[in-house]
Amino acid sequence: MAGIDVLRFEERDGVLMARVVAERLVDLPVLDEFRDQLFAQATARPKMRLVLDVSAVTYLSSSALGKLVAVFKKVKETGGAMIVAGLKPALLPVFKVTSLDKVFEFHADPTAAVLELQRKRF
Amino acid sequence: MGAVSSLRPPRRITVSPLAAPRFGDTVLLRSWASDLVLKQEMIDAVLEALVPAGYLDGDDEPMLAICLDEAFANAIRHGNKQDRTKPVDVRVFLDDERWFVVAEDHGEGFDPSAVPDPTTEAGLMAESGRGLRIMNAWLDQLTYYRDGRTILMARRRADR
Repeated sequence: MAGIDVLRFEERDGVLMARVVAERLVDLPVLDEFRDQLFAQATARPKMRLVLDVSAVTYLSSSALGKLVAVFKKVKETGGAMIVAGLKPALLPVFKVTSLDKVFEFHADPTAAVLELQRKRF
Repeated sequence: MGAVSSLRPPRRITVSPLAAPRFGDTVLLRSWASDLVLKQEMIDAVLEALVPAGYLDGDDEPMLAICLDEAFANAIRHGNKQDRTKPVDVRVFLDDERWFVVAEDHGEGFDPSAVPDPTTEAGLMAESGRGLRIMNAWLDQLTYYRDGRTILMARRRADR
């Protein structure tokens, strides 16, 4: 779906930084756009090293967690790695109670997350 | 996948808390047409009823918004099947210690105990089915009435 501003991409020495610009990751058109854009990147770049900067996100829905899992699976399938960076502390309980805190790798600082993935070898 | 072991079993209560006058002060009583476009307006209306009353703090808001999003989306989509002629009735009321949000649809109901556990190995990688878990963990009370057509959500006020 065109016209929904969800993500900004930036290449940083082999690591793709995807900054979520949507403050609310809630409604399905936004979430579908989010997934589709990241799927397209994962397909175009096998072994993608992805930092998902969510520092602008203040609200997310349980459906958003589903899309994060979908993206995570896609990145893994294509041999890549993903870090969720800059999550607001108020949103951490959502990941804890669904045990997704054990699935995703988190980093408080997006720039530090990029450095970490740059060091990672495949 | 097994049933969610941490969920309280559904209680078979047939009197709707929407109508019961014995619950505290009502700060919002309103109905919306079953249209997902109105969902955000519904969430905002509940937050606007609770924030000025001092019942929420900043950390509560995103969590409550998630719970409301889940409850309203379920009522609109699964309950009323997005039939705009069927309303979703919402009541927010307060006592000295807690806030309560009731949402009622006019659909066929559902069995919350039939929702699979999202924290099993298979559930972790599922792309849906986490809403009930989040609500159950964050709310102090999550009760279904009228065979799942009415949901009551409650939590201690933030400053208590």
